[in-house]
Amino acid sequence: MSSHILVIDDDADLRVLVRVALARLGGYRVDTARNGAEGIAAAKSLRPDIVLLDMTLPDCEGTDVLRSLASDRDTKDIIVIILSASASRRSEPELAELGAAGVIAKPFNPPTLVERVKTIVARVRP
Amino acid sequence: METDLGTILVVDDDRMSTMMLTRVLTSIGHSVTSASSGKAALELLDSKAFDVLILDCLMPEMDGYEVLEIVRGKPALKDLAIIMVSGVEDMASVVACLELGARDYLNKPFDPAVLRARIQNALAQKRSREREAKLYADLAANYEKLRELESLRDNLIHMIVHDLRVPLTNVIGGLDMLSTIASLDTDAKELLSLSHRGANTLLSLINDLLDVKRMESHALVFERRPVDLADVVNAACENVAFLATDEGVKLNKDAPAGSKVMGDAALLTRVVTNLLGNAVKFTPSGGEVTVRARPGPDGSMELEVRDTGEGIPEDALVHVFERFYQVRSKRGTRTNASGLGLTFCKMAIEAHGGIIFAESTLGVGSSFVFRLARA
Repeated sequence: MSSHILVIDDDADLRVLVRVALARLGGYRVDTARNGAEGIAAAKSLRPDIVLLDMTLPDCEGTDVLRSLASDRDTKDIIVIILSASASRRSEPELAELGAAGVIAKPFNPPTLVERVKTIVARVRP
Repeated sequence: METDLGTILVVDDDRMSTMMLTRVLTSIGHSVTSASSGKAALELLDSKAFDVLILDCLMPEMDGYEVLEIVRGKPALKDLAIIMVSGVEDMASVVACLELGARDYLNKPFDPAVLRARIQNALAQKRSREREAKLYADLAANYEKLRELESLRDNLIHMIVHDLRVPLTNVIGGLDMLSTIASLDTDAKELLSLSHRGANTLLSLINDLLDVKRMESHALVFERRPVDLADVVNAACENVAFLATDEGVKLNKDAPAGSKVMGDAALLTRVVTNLLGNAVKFTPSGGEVTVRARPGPDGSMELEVRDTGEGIPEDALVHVFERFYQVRSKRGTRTNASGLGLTFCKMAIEAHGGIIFAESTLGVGSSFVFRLARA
C-alpha cells in the first residue's frame, strides 16, 4: 500500500494544511520539505511512496526536481504528483512526459486534495 | 498641388465681378453660389454650409463690413473663412476687415492665379482649424471618459473593500473564539493558526486599500504626539517575525530607546511593518533585513530598512510608491501584495510632514528610508 507522502512546497501554511489533510483524512504518513534541494534529499533518504511537488520553488523549478527524481535509481519509482497554480505554463501531457503521475490544480480544498491523490495513485498502481 | 475642393459663396453687387469669380472658381472644381447683396448672403449662410465667403467691401444698403460683423457674431459660422474684396486704392479698409476677423483679402481686378492661391490657402487654414477642433473635442471626450472610469473604479474599490471587511471580520472573530473555547490538538491548533494568518493578511490588504483611499480624500484622522521609534520598530518586528523565520531571513534591529518623533504610533507601526514585510519577501533565505533608527539631517529622525535582497531595477525604482505598482520577485508571484503597501507608506509619511525614498543596487539589496521631525 502507498502510504508515505513527501510534500515539497515553500508555503509554510500550505504545508501544514496539506500535511494535516493527508494524515487525518487520508491516513497517510506525511513528511514535508520547503524547497527543491531539501525535497530531493528527503526523497532519497526517506524513500516515500508519493511526492506532492509544487511547481514554483524558491531555489529551482518544480520540473528540475521532477527530472532529478526520475533520473535517480533510488527515487525513480516514486509516484510524483504536481501541485500547480493555474498560471503554470507547463501542460499536463508535458509534465507526464517528464514523469509526473498527475497534476492537482491550486488552489484546492483539503478533502478534494486527498481524493485526487487517491484517484491518481489508484490509476498508476491498480 | 492638389486642389482642395470647397463650397464658396461670392457676394458682390457687381454682376460682372460675381460672374468672373464664379467662372474661374467653378473651372477648378469648387462649388460656387453667388449673392448680389449682404442681406441675400446672410440668408444663404443661415440655410447652407460654406467653406469660404468672398465678400465685396463696397455694396449698397448693407456693405461688406456690416456683413462681416454680423457673420463674426454668429458662433455657428466661426469656422467660415472670409476673404474681403476691395479696390487696390483702399488699403485702409482691408486693414479694418482683417481686424474684424476676415482671413484674407483680394484686390480688384482679379488675377486668376492669385485668386486660386488665396482660396487654397483659406481652405487649408479652415481644414486645419477643423482638424484641430476635432482633435481637441476627441481629447476632451477621452479625458472625460477617463475621469468617469477612474471615479467608477474608486467607487468600486470602496464598495468591494467594505463588503469584504465585514465577513472577514466575522471569520477572524470566529477563529479567535474557536481558539479560546475549543480544546484542540496540535494539528487543529496549527490549522487554526494558518487560517488566522491568512485572514489577517487579507484584512491588512483591505486596510491598506481603505487607508490609501482615506488619505487621498484627506479623511484619515491621526494623532500627533511624541512616539518612540524604538517602540514602533519593536512592534513592527513582532508583526513580521513569523514571516522572517519562515523565509529564513535574519531580522536585525538597531533602534535605541528615545528616538522620538511627532506622529501616530499605530500608523507608523504599519508603515514600518509594511517596509519590513516587503524587505523580507524580497530577500532570499539566508539573507538579512536590518531596521535602524538614528538622527538624520536638519533635526530629523531617520528610519532605514535595508535588505540583502535581489535589488530593484532602476526603471522600477521610480515607480515603487505608485498605486498598484508591483515589482516582480525572482521567486515568482507569490507575494501577498496589493501594490498599495508602499503607496500607503508614502502617503502616511507625507501626511506626517516627512519624506520617504528608496535606493537599490541590483544583486546587493534595497534600502527604504523615511525622515520625520524629531519630537
